[in-house]
Amino acid sequence: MNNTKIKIGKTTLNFPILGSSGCSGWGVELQDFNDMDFIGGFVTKSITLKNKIGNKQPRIKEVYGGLLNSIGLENNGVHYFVEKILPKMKKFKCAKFLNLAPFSREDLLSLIDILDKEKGFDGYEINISCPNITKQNLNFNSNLLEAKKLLKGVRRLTEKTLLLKLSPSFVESFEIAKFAEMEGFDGISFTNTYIATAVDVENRKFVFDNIQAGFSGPAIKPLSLFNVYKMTKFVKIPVIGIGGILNLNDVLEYLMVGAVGVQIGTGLLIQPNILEKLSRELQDYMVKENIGDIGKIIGCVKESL
Amino acid sequence: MNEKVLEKIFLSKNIFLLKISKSKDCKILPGQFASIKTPLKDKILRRPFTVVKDSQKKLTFLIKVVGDSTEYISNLKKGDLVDIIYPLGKGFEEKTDFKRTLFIAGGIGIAAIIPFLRGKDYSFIFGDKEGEYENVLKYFSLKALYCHEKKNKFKGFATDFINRFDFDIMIGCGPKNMLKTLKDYAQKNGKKYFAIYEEVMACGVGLCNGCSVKTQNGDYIKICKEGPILNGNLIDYE
Repeated sequence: MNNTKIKIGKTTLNFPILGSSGCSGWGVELQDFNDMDFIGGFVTKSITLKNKIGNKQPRIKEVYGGLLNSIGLENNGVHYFVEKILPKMKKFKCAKFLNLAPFSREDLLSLIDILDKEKGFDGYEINISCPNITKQNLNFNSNLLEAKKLLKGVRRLTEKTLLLKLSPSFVESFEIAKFAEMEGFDGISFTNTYIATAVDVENRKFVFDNIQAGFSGPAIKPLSLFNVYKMTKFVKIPVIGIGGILNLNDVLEYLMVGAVGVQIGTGLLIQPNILEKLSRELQDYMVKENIGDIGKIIGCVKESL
Repeated sequence: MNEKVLEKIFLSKNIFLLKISKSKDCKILPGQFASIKTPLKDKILRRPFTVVKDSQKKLTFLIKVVGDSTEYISNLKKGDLVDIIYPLGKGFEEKTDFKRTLFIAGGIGIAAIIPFLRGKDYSFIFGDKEGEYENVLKYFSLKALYCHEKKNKFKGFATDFINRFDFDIMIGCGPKNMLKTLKDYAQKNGKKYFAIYEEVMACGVGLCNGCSVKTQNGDYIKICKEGPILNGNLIDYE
């Protein structure tokens, strides 16, 4: 049997392919399209301490090679999550990560305090890279000092697997990842969407109320692939590669530059069954190529001849 | 999943019926829709289309060419495969006296209203700005107060003729301005009102919250999961 399992922190994933935060709903929505035992796992939508209503329409704009989104972390807050959503999520055997979007250190401490009493999930992905909450959340990603203040000591609050999701739009992400590694984080989810914008020419105004939006989709893949490659050289903890994955070849590229796993976002919106589909294709590929262990693919590209 | 094109009928220059095979065993309720992915490289998202007619082995869509994706679909030929997901959205399940209901559609919004119009005992106002839907009414044998701005005796907007009818409930689908006018009317006159609503959709299956619409209570609801038929009196038409 070919081994497609990877390990991040205390979590073992049957496949190195997860649904990314923001595009996997609460996991529950994926079950209509995927055999949940046959996917690596998923990361939930961002959970905030208090209810967050999200941004005004328009929230989506399709652009060449991808899409811009400005959702704005719409969710009903952590207490609603614990009461109404977590019970429905628990039954899935795949890996389940909760994406947490703090606006302050107090927020983050409270979120973990509330959630860590619960069971039925594997860990947290702390998100400091949402492009759509301009000031409150992104400040941590654009400022090393602020990020350090936010993340210091967080490891001591939980035994669960801890990931940090970072933006490709700030060079600080690399140093922040290094700090997270020192602090004992288990992995880095990289990259989030690229901060971008669009103009409504007819009305001479920005398309999005928030001016900026997150750019995702196949157009960003070469950019994210390079950023992920760089990140795998920068930190020793596992890097989960994200950005523009639509097919097995994309998955393999990320694994070959050193990502231990990948997350799929926009690809899921287009093909909601993509997690199971690519997991099966990966398995077939390994059989065909006679690759016994996924470890043989991860980081296998030669850097020079 | 893939279905096959069975037939395509143009009813006017830009409006056509697409009939495709239906291999899934399911009943599609009024309001439910399907999402189609074209192979166009620069249009990566699926496009939602109301199922205008559901039968055991066949799905029918009424589509207007408005951009590259719909143009691509309009060029499909018999036997071509269609990458499609269905049924999506919540169907209309409320117990409603359709004899006391006024249906109002504007333009291609008619596609979402047609599934409700059964028998002969209904009231329906249809606004057709450019006068391009005459054959649609004929094809589906629809009885409507048919208004358009050019040649018809009912000149004006569909919403201008509401007062001619006696009803308790309104079900409307069309441009945002029309849906908003209907809300104003419904609130002034204490009518129940369902709006079949649209926003740009990314996934159509509840994953992304891209299509969320603001309600009067200040929160958002997902059109793809909770809609597209929503309480029209609750929507905040921004």
